[in-house]
Amino acid sequence: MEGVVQNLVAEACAKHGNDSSALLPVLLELQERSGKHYVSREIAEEVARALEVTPGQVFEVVTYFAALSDKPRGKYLIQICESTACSVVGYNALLDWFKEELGLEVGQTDADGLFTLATTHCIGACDVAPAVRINNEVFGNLTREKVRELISERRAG
Amino acid sequence: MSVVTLTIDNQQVTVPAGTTVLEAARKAGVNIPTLCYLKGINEVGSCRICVVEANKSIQTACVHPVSEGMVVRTNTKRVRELRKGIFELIIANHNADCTICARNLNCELQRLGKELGVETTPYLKSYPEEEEIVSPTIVRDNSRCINCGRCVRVCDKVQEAGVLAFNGRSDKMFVSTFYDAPLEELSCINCGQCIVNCPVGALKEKDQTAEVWAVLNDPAKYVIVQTAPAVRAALGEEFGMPIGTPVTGKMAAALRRLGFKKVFDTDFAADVTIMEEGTELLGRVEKGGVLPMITSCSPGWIKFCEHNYPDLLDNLSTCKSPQNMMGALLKSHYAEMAGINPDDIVVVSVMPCTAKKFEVGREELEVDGRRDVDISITTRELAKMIKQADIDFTKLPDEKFDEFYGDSTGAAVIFGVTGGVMEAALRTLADILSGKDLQNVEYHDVRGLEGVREAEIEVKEGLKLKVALAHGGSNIKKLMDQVRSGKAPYHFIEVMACPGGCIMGGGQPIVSDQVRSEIDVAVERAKALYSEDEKAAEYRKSHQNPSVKRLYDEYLKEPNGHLSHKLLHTHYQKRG
Ligand code: SF4
Ligand code: SF4
Ligand code: SF4
Ligand code: FES
Repeated sequence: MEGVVQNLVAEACAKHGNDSSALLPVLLELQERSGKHYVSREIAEEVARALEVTPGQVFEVVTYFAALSDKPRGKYLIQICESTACSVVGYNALLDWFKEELGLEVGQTDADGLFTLATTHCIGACDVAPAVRINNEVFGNLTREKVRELISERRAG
Repeated sequence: MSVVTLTIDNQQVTVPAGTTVLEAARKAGVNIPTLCYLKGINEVGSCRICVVEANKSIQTACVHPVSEGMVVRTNTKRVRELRKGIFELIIANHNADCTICARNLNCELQRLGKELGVETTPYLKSYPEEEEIVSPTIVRDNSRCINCGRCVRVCDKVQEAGVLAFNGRSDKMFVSTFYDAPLEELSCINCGQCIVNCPVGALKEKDQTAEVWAVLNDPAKYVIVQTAPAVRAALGEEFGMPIGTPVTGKMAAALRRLGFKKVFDTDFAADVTIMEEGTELLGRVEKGGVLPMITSCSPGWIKFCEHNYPDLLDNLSTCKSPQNMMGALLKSHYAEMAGINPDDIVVVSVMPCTAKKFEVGREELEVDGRRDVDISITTRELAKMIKQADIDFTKLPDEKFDEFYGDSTGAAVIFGVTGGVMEAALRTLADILSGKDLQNVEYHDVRGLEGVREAEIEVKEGLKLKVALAHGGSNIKKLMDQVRSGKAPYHFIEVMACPGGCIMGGGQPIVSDQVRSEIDVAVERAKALYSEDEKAAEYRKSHQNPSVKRLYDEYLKEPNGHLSHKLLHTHYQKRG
């Protein structure tokens, strides 16, 4: 098991440069590969060792950026953009629709580990505000109907 | 180097370019309040209490660089009002019940309130205490944390343990640990440097004074106390005495008044340590054992080594620390000599160190099922007990330690400062190897506060010992990486986990950053110990301690002998 973690981290570090300045891309990559959108404690420990930074420094980065998480998240990470552009054209309503459809509050993950509801800083989709990012895909000009679709498509797998 | 001239409160000051307004002001003797600032360690400008007017605009002095002709005003109405507002916002999120706080009367935030003259505020709330025991040594109360980050940066930069961390950002940010885990699951070395660098009462040691009072009240117990060398160099500070005042005699008197049956000195065991460790070193040099041999008195260092250099555990001396040697001897030799049942003896140690609390609990540190030491308290906890007993410390007479286990030499007392263990060992080794009673006992090459030092000492004709020293985690890493690479040419290395050695341990009286900017605390406390060494004119070498000689003649027989190994030596564990 330990060997698996070591290899995974070594690979990510080799790809992004074995240097403390590569901390962020390395963590993003490892989170992506976790399948649960998070950086586990074991991974973080190994990253600290590999990039010669302290464990605390890794943890600060993981908890600082909304894109990273220290706790497991759902298969689909729903991040609603709370930037100025989105908030003036219906961010609040959008957030409520997702909350109601999913039965989740911000920061929560459903029991099946399928969806996590989160907010995010600007994702650069102001032209199609209000926008949401689900994993790596951005969806804009949303209506309640579209929100339902986005969710049911993913429920169906 | 280019220099810059500016005026601060109408005084001209010239400082090197790049200096901050705060450091320039300190140089000019102008006081600017600070809270998050810790020179060289935490210069982040986060609390903003240090605001000043620089060329009429508001700047944070601790991060704002000076410029030519700059006009700084530190006490205008605008500045004073701003600071007051900032202070109010800080305490709006602070559990400010000073009367029941460990830092009452020694708190940077509290002092600031007094200095700024804040007597009412619209924002004060009451908070539930959030006291959490996060390790066997450290207690945290985040309701008193002001998010200054000093603990995090000290743990990260100075000690390089890096187990503390901010969790989150902006208003949701709080101080935590790696993955919010209990410190005891992490590579925390229990050094307590986070505690002594916290400006407020958010971090403190696990308080064991109640346990000590309980055993003192138990007539069935024979309670013995031992005090580490560094305690006498700092205890007086808790009673308003100047930093660097040695208080050995008053401390002995106070301990007797608290009710300890015997008041003994860990210095005795420091002398024994030199006998054991010196012999071990000679053995390794002669028989081709693992070198360099590294000292093992500092439990913070031991845990640091177990976590970060598990491959170097064989380099560690097998000697227990003086604290534990003392305990093991008290419950064996002393019990026999005094005719006391060792099961009735309770050994309390007073240490400058929080890691000693952890060491006391290490499973391997016992003999025949008896813990070497039962309770370890810090210098601060002893001061608290003296205050609780209403003893007027400064007026106490100077008394002596009790005989035999209170006897020590000048070599032992300098154990408390970086370089001291090395110097004590050299004094004895040089005598043994030359077969003479050498008159020159001071080894100035190994003194000082440089983080990593090395020296070459001729201990007898034709034999030069190569030695090195390091103190504080980041310095230790530099030296140990060298040892690990196999390129370290040394025979003997002294390591202490805290920067400065035990005199600056995590259990010592807490000195504010402001005072530290005026007084070099390590230098003053070290002077106190060196002066005690010089006063010990009769015996300044461990092997000359008459009681230690008797201990070997009558009981242990020889250093590193069979009985020594049972009582005084130990082993270590690999930790991830
Ligand atoms: S930390 Fe300081 S200001 Fe806060 S309650 Fe304690 S003594 Fe008072
Ligand atoms: S005791 Fe030392 S190692 Fe542990 S958290 Fe505090 S500073 Fe870090
Ligand atoms: S615990 Fe103390 S040192 Fe650490 S951030 Fe809080 S107030 Fe600052
Ligand atoms: S911002 Fe300067 S001391 Fe905190």
